[in-house]
Order: sequence, then C-alpha cells, then structure tokens
Amino acid sequence: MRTLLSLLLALCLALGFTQAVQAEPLIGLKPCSEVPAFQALREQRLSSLEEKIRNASPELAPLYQQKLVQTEKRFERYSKLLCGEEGLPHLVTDGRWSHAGEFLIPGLLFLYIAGWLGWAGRSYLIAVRDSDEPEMKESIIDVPLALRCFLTALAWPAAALKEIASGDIREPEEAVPISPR
Amino acid sequence: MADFTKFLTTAPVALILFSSFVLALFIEINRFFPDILTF
Repeated sequence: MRTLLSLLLALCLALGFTQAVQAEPLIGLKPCSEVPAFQALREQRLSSLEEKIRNASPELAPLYQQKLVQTEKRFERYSKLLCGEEGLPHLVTDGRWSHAGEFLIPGLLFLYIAGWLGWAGRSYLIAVRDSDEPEMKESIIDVPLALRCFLTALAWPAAALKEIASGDIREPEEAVPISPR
Repeated sequence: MADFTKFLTTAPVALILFSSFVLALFIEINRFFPDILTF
C-alpha cells in the first residue's frame, strides 16, 4: 500500500508539474499546406504522373489516371498534418487530443488488439486445461470453443480488471513449478 | 468428411487458414483505404 501511494504521488507530481510545451515551433513544424517543400513534392509527383499518362499506351493510361487520383487524395489528406522543413509529414505522439488520430488512437487500438489475441489464447488454454485431453486440444484446435474464446475476449479490459480485482489472475506461489536446483 | 475437418483444425493448418484470412483482410483494407497514415 505504501509503495502504491508513493507511486501515485510520483505520478501526480510528474504529470502536474510538467509545463505544456508546444514542440512544433521549436523543431520547425508547420502545417504541410504551408511548407514549400511539401508543395514542391506534390507538384513533382503529380507532374511525373501526368507525363506518364501522356506517354502511356491506351491500356495503361487508366491505371496511371487512377494512381494520379490516389496521389492527389493522399497529398490532400497529408496537407492537414504537420510538416518539417524537408516537406514530409511528422506525426505528433505526445498524446494531445488535437493529434489523437496520429498516434494515440492507433496505439490504443494496437494494445487492444494485442490484448484481445492474448486474452483469447489464455482463455482457450484455461478452458481446455480441465478437459479430458488438454494437450490434444492444443494440437487439434476445438474450433467452436476457440471462436467462443475469441468473441468473449473482445471484452478483455473489463475481464482483466475483474480478475485483477478478485486476484484470480495470480497463481498461488506453490502452484508455480520451478526446475530442480 | 469428419477426418477432413479434423485435418483442417490441426494447429498448423488452422494457423495457415487463419493467417491467410487476416492477410487478405489487410490487403483489402489497403485496397479500399490506401495510404493510411492517420485516423
């Protein structure tokens, strides 16, 4: 309890005393639409594709046309991001809500999916542990059971919190096998 | 038929089936939403 409280205090201090520093002016980030190098890159890419369309055979021209549309869309979307002097988009990863889509949301999604797969596998192993032939069910997958585990594991953050609160997530010390020494 | 479904659910085969599905899903996502850099 003591360690927990001191950790909590350290966390509060660390989060409370830091100044909100806007990094963009310091390292020269500006909206991409205002960075000349980004615009130059856009012009270069588009003109090279237009050049290709002019010289392409009739079968290939629609393909290049499609690529041109896609490139235009890409530059339009990236122009809302922040660019460095070299004209390439930089992602802001400090967790600010205005840039949440660049790192925070994909990062949380990654953690969620990784936890989902891990929890599904864990609950499958726990489910087959008490069946008559657990090793066999690891090499020949019980697909309906596995699918059920995948579905229920979608709620893994809630399930994990519940197990942490009840202590089920821990094995008793004497149940953990150690090698002879 | 029962033997065949059992073969399909052996771990290596099931892994290949599952991976093929996931990879195809990623390829299709990239086809319909190309150049994803942000949400």
